[in-house]
Amino acid sequence: MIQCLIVDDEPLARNLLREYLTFFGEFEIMAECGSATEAAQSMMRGTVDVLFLDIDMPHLSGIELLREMKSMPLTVLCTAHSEFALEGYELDIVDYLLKPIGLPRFTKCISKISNRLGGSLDFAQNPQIESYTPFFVKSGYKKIKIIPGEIEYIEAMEKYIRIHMKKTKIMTLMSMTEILSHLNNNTFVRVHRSYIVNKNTIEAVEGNMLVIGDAMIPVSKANRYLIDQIVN
Amino acid sequence: MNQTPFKIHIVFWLFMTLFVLDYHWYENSWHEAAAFSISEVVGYLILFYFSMCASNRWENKIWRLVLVNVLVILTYVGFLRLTGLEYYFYDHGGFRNLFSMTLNAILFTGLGVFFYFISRNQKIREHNLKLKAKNRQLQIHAIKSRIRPHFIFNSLNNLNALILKKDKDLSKFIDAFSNILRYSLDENEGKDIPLNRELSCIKSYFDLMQMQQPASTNLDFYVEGSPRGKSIQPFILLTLVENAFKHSNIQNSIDGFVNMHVSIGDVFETKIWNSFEGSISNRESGLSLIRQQLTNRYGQSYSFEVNEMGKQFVCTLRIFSSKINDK
Repeated sequence: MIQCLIVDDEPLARNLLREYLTFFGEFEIMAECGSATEAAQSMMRGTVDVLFLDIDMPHLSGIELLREMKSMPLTVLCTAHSEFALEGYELDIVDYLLKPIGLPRFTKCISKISNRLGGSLDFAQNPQIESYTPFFVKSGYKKIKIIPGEIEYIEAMEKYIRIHMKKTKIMTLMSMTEILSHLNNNTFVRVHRSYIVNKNTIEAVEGNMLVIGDAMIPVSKANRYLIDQIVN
Repeated sequence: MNQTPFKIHIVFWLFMTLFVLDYHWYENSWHEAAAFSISEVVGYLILFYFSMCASNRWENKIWRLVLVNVLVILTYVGFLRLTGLEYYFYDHGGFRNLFSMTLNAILFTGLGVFFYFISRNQKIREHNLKLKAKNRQLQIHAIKSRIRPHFIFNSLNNLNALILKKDKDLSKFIDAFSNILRYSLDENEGKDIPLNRELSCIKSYFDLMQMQQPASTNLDFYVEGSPRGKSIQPFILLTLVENAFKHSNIQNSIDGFVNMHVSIGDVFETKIWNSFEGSISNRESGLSLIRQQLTNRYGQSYSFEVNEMGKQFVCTLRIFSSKINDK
């Protein structure tokens, strides 16, 4: 388990981080502190792996606390001020979260932490993360459940989109932007004005075409750089 | 005196020396002429800079300044006359010499005063401009301190915590809303900002709009190519997007749409098209401001077209990529 310490003078802000962390099973909250001085005491009591730290707190600010510490755990600064970012990165923090903190951004932060810890976390498969949760789309009079992992690619057709799954195809009235908002943007990429592909289902790359099953998906000229990202 | 670059002073006095040299060379050998002209120019130099310094010292006491300058001119003329130097500089003799000397002395003293006041006025003007800019900055700060952005963002964060379990869409809404708010509050004094930030704000704008419309409303935002390493004048694209939404009929027509495609290649191209009903006559006035901004920043390196095609309104902005590349 990864031991976390949450430091924020606002209780609701602590709640939010606690709730978010429960989505990622490997994290355990060792303590929550309302001030930097309390945090310093907690850290003396046990080892902290990851520190979520607010900056703007009465008495001692988060930055001041970081400067005082001799050895730093992996630190994520969480603040409503954008102007401390540079100072923070000079102190070698892992991430800088701007409040209000959204779940997609927090997920990214967790993946940064995971990278620092040697990529040992397999959080991406955690079904509790919103982007992987199934959703429903309307098709005719039915509402059909879509499991993102089963999508191979999505094709735009005028106002409609066609979702190609392993076994079936579904036509629905929806925009590409709308469907993308339901999907994890690490896995799903819009490679062309009319195509979104699931990176995991790509079987081959032929020039500027992606091969998925029997289909050939074109990649826009300007998006060639995505092919490099997919191949590597 | 400090305003004009040092080089210009040197060039001016060199030129002056040559000018005087030309006059003396007429009757003397070249080394005599050189000696005369250098010593004569040194005299002018002293007069010129002395009057400049005097102007600096007594710039608000005009009569004292005039008196000092008259005394200096008299001293100069007296010195030349008593030492007999005047006969090397002027060949008219007698009263005519006195007249020439005084005239030249007045000329150079006058030039010193003149240049001093010109550069002083320029300094004052620049100072005033700086003050004005600083004043505006202070006004912005005053407004911002009244808004207290961190208070807003902290509150939104707490709101996020309160609704997390109840409504996921609302959480997304807060995310998009605060992204736009933060972008709008950021003060970048009209400097270019990373293209990524502008596009992410527009993405949030589309998200926000999508949440307020039925899922079937056709809103599409698509970026082709990588925005990395590019910067752009802020708020231009965002204003176009806001306009497109404002003038579209997505609120009252099931066929309404707003689409935006950005393509980043050799040319940076943004195409925004939306459905509309009725007339668009009043739209041009809002666009002229954008044209103005674009011309100020990109000169001739952009093109901006607005077309009405049936029930569609299409805006196309193209900028040469070389103009938006980071230095």
